[in-house]
Amino acid sequence: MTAVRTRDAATDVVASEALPAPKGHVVAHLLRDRSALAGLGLVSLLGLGALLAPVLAPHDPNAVDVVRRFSPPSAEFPLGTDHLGRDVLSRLLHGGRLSIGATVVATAGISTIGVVLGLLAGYLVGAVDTVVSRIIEILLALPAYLLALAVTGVLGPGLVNLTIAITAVWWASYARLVRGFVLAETGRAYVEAARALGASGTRIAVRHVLPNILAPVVVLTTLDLGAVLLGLSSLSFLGLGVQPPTAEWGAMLSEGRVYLGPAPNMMLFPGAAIFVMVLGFNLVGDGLRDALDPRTRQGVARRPRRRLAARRPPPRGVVGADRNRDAPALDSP
Amino acid sequence: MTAYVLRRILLVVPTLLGVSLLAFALANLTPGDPAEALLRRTTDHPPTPEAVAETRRDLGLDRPLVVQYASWLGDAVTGDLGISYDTRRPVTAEILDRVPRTLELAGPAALAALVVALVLGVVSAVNRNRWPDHVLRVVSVAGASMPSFWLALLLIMLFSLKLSLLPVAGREAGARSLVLPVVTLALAPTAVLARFTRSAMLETLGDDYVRTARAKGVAGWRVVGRHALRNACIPLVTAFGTSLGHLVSGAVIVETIFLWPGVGKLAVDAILQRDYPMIQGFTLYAGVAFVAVNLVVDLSYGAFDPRVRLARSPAKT
Repeated sequence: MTAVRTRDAATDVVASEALPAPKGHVVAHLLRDRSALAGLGLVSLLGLGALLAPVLAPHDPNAVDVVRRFSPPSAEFPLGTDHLGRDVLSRLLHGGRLSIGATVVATAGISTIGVVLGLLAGYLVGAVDTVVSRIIEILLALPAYLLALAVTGVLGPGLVNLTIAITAVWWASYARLVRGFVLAETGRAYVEAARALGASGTRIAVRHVLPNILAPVVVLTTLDLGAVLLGLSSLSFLGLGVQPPTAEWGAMLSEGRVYLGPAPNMMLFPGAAIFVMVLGFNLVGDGLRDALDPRTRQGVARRPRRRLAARRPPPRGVVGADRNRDAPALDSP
Repeated sequence: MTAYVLRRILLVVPTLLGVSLLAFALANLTPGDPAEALLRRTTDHPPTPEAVAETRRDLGLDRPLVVQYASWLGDAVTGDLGISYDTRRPVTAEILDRVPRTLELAGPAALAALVVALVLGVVSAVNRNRWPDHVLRVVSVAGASMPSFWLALLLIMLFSLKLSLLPVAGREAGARSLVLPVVTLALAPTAVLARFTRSAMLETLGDDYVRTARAKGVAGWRVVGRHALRNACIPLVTAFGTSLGHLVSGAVIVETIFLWPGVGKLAVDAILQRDYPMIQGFTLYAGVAFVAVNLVVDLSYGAFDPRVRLARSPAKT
């Protein structure tokens, strides 16, 4: 028993060499990044609004009153009313709970499935790897958005089915990323060392490799929150998400589309909410990527104007990192 | 090069089989029985068990799944993907009829996105960290975050309802009816491609051969155009392949909003009508199209970069 524990302690010491930069640096860097802070502000603002919707909403989001339909913004109805006389602000706040909630649930599911399958494929290799890699290839052959559309079409409309469909088809890029990282990390000295010291395969995968690949997964997840929200609300806009009378941003926009002339407020506010939320997620994601990538971090903090070097160092600031910057962009309209 | 091309083409076969399996599985994932679903669509009252059983036999649904898949795939290879529940016409004919309509939008949008993104990306990279670069960054983040369905509605409200310059929807007004859908469709790929162009240009602008060219005294814009941009094309081709995915995904939304009779609208209608053969056909054709695009993208690397061509043919190394 003691022998085992000693051995594990030893492997952990070896592995700690390869751990990512201390967290303090990342936070400090994020706090200096003005656009990431702005993104965080936007996300918190809308997130809090959704969270506190029952307290903040001035009216019942589903209270119909046909007499006051299409009211312009006023003190009583700050964002006006819709075609059934319902308060747009209250619906926006309550709708945020479903839009943001489903986005977070789907993204959490996507990244969990992707990380687990990617770890399994990259670590077990062999038959598991072959099967998982084939599935990844097939899923990536089509844009995730189109697949989600087809799967929702088959499962039938509804927010739950929509969330399931998105989760089921979207994880492939994570699995591919994690698998690649695992394969790259497996060849590194600290893994060899841990293995030489007798650590088990699972232990190496979870204790040693996972912490090292967490940073790119976190970045991809944050950037994907925006893409998932876009995909989810656009499918919901097509009528595949929540069904009336429930408020949800995409569905509200879909209703507002019919009344562009008489009630532009029905279309303007839910659309702005989606835009601002996605923008917030993207700004935070960009900031996190810069903060967690040591190469970019150096580049942003003190970027040399010009640099002389003999053989292809990062020329003029950071370039290798820059290319990655744009890789996991949005996958949906 | 020939060996590489052949190997790459052969590698596509398992992926295509997988895509076909996925498309086939879609209809069999349904909570209900496809035979019952068909009968519910064609008759108003709930079908009797006998009628369902008979339809199952007619459609061959009583056979084992493997046999069903094999016969479906056999038909699919010859272009027979069944009859649409909705229009009662062959799925393949319906889809092929709509493809040109989608290309009318996607073609100009792809071209516009490429041209605008190249110009913005190059200008931004050449002016790194000066104001054009900052402006582009803001615009591209905002463009990538913009929901296309909201943008479409905003454009309709401004240009069609307020200014009465362009039609609200449809394709009767000729070139004028193209403007709003194409702009909507092009925005997201433009934002993404502009960022790609910028980073690809920054990378090549710092390379040795660019410095050599500058040292030789080659004029500034000639260095950018002839040396840097040409080499920046390799990552751009990949990015452009990805943008085609965005374009087709975007077409689903854009065609629905602008009532454009393309493939995207067809897919949405099929889904809302639960027209399973059509959903299957759409998935299969889209899958085949994307696999083909990826293949072309891969193969075109060699055309832009002789190093790729040489490195991948073992005989010449």
